[in-house]
Amino acid sequence: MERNQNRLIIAYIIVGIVLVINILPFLWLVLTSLKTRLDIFAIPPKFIFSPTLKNYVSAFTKRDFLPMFYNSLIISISTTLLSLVVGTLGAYSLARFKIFGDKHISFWILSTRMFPSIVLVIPFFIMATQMGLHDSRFLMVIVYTTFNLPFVVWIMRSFFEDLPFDLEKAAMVDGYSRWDAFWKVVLPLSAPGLFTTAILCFIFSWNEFLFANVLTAANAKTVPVGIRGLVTSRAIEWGEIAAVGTLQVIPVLIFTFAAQKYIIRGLTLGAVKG
Amino acid sequence: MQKNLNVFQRLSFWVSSSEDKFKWLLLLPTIIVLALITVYPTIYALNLALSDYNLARAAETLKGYIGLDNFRTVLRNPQFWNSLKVTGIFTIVAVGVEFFLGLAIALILQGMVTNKVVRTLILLPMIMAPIVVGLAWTYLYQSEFGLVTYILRSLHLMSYQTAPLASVSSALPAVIVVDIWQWTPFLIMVLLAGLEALPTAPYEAAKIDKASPFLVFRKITIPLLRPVILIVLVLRIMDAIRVFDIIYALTEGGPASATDVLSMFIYRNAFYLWDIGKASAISFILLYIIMIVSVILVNLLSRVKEIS
Repeated sequence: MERNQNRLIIAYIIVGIVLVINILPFLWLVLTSLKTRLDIFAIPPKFIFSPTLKNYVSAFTKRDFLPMFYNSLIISISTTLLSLVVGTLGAYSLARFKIFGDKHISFWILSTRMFPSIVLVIPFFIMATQMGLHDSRFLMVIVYTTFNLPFVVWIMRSFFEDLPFDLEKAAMVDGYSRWDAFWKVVLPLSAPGLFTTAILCFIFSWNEFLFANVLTAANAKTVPVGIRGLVTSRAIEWGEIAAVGTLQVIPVLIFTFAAQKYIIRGLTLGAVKG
Repeated sequence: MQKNLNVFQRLSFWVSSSEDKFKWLLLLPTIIVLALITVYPTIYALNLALSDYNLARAAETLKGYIGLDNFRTVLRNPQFWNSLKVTGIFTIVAVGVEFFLGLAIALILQGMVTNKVVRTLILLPMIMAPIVVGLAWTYLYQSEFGLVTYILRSLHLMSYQTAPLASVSSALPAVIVVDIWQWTPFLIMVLLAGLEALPTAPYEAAKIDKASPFLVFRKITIPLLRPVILIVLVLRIMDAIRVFDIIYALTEGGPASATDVLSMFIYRNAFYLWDIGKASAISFILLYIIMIVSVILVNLLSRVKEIS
């Protein structure tokens, strides 16, 4: 009994340490965003200071971050919807039917998910420039679908495989067509999976930097690119970086809280059912 | 056919006529879209890799198709071998530390992380945009007023002449620490999920036999957990080999190529030097490396699945 209690205390201490280390860099970002220029450059670093919202104001008045947030939002939502519509159908097909070569098809889809962005960004850059699509939101939606679509197929397939086939059989005995059995029976039951998948697609796109940095300039510039743009050869605007960084992370944090039940399953492509 | 049917009803009438048609109708959009947006660009990139294609030079000086010349030049470039080495060290050290830390913490936390807020806070680093993580740590590592630099100096672990990202010897470890910070929670959560899903029967049997905790861990926990361990290692290794954002934010590959991972090296060749042909060639080498590593790991994974 004594030993168990000691173990519990040690465990709580470790949870505490892990949480502090986990949160501190983000907390520091939030604190920095509320500091004046003078406090930002203070040595030793200040934990207590009088907060200001100046960095937030200047990010939206001096730096034009509003259109960037708009771009990020439109691009992320569009690629999420596109990938969900196309990928859910593909996932259902792979989960339910014997298809000639389905193992190879699945593996090929997974392999596109493992593709390094740097390999694809070069041909996309040249092709987009030639087609006049460079710096367009349309291009970014297409490019982000390269990683979102295989993700949707893999994770939704795992959710569909969880549901017994008898569900559809019963529905079809009741006179449902094959499509209705999917659309009216399977899909509503997969709602939590769809929700998690949508949220993860949104987060991947919302956070993406490499493609956006190369393929956008002014019109379709996204928030991550804009934040990195505050690092210039003349100066680094730490206050504004922290302010926009905080605003960029907050929606992700809220979504993660809402979807956390299946997030580990999502991030392991359905392999680990946390 | 009835006239006043909506699109879905028409579609369902048509698709339900044959199971075979139905399954392909559902799968084809995925295959076509993926072929257009990943296979076609890859073929296009291969074409670039085999060409003398440099946006910094005048078009009439370019030689066009040059076969494997780009690959030959790259393989003779010591900068490339340096990048390969840096990527290797980064991947092995980062993923190795993340795994052992993650496993140790997961074993301690078993059954404890049930609170939604605590779970979300543990997940925080891995859901933050890597570019934001990189910039946040650039600030923590800043040479005059960075919090981490300040703490290191207060503990006499770092002199005032240098800073974590400023010296060749400390830059790579500093970058690796950021990756460890961002991804250890992922290992913790995945291994926790794995541990909490393990069957209880073997443990009860071990209890009856009065087996030592270490023996239980080595003979029961690790073998049962092996599929989960392999999956999470595959995912992490793949991500670590292609790491870009945090490097770009923290060091851009410097100082003196000390953190110049392959993705960064390719990026510089393509978008600083505009040597598209050579950059494409290196990106194919990166692709081969990832393919080989993934095939090895996936084979390992399927063999483990057969055993268990």
